[in-house]
Amino acid sequence: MLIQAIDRDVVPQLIAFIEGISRPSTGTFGLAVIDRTCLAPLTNDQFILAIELALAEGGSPRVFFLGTEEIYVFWQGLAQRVFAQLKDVVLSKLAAPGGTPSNPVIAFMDPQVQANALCLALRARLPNVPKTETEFQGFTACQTQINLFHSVCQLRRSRQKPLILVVDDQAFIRKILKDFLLRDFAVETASTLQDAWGTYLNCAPDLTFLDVELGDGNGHDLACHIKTMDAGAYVVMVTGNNYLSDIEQAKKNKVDGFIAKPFNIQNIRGCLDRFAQSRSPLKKGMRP
Amino acid sequence: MSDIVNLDNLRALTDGDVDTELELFDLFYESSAECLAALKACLETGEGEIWRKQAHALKGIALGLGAQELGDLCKQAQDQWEASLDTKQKMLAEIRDCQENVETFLRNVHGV
Repeated sequence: MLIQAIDRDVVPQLIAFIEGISRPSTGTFGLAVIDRTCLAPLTNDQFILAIELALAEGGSPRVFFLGTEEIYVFWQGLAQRVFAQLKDVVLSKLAAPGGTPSNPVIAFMDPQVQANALCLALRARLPNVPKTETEFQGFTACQTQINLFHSVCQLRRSRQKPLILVVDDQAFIRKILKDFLLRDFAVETASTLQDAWGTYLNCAPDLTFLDVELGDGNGHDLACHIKTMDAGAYVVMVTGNNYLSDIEQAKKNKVDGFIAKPFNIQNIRGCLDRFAQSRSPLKKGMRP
Repeated sequence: MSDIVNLDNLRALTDGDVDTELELFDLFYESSAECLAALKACLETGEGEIWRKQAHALKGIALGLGAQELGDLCKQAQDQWEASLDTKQKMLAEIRDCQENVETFLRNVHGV
């Protein structure tokens, strides 16, 4: 049984861990968030020991302590059963000052499904400094926008038609693509990076065609931001330059496709086919 | 001699819809005029980066339309964004002439 306890700088490691387990082939994961104050008399080691004994058959829990506020416990295996065991442990160890809190176990969730929401919420706790280069570009979101984005993400699978976002600064290109895509998809468009970011947050598109060279900046920056933030993102870069550096940057950002302008019906259809394959039931579980 | 615009790709994408095609032509007239005006302004201000971006923009529209020659001239202007004023004036004149030919061609396609 592997247990890891980290007292400081835990949030980035926690985010990395969640992003790691949100990928395919990891099986079922569960997560419980526990109010640390409920277990105040227990040291971290004592809590880990209690968890270790109680969840001996529950897989491999990993425990993260976020200062004095919360404890995150992850485990692989039967999510609901292990969660019930975990809750029993917490309730048996309760020693909160001023009586028993009504809800010591704050949350239970499936990180494979809710990894994006969780990571965004955790990132909001980090000190207010740029975490990545892309955040210098002003791709920020208030809590209301993040909450809305999470809600819309949940609707992705139930959409009648996948939603595609077309980002290009030229109305001519937007119209060609939009009219073509409207035959089979719902389509939103944006002409600038900032418009695109706002639209992305509001709509959580299933697929984004993103021009590299835009009036207010570089599409690679937004692509990087989207791919970092949204594990369910499917982004195809579109460029009239076709420079090697653009292709390398697209690879580095782990985008899902790259189309050189002028595009034609074959390469757009090819791209849409690959998108459809990535969402096919055979690959269920690939994207939260 | 081949046409200055090859509409095959555009028509495949628009499924041959005439109204859509006319709307796209209008967007071409409008957008290309804006790009040409911006390129001309760059000659006065000496803004190399804006020159490059506008040439890039017009190249994208031209190639999307099927105007290969215009696209090639714009690519040349984009790549030579650091060229001398004299060279840029010549490039812009060629682009303008070609854009006019493309516009004339498009206006004759559907007789409007």
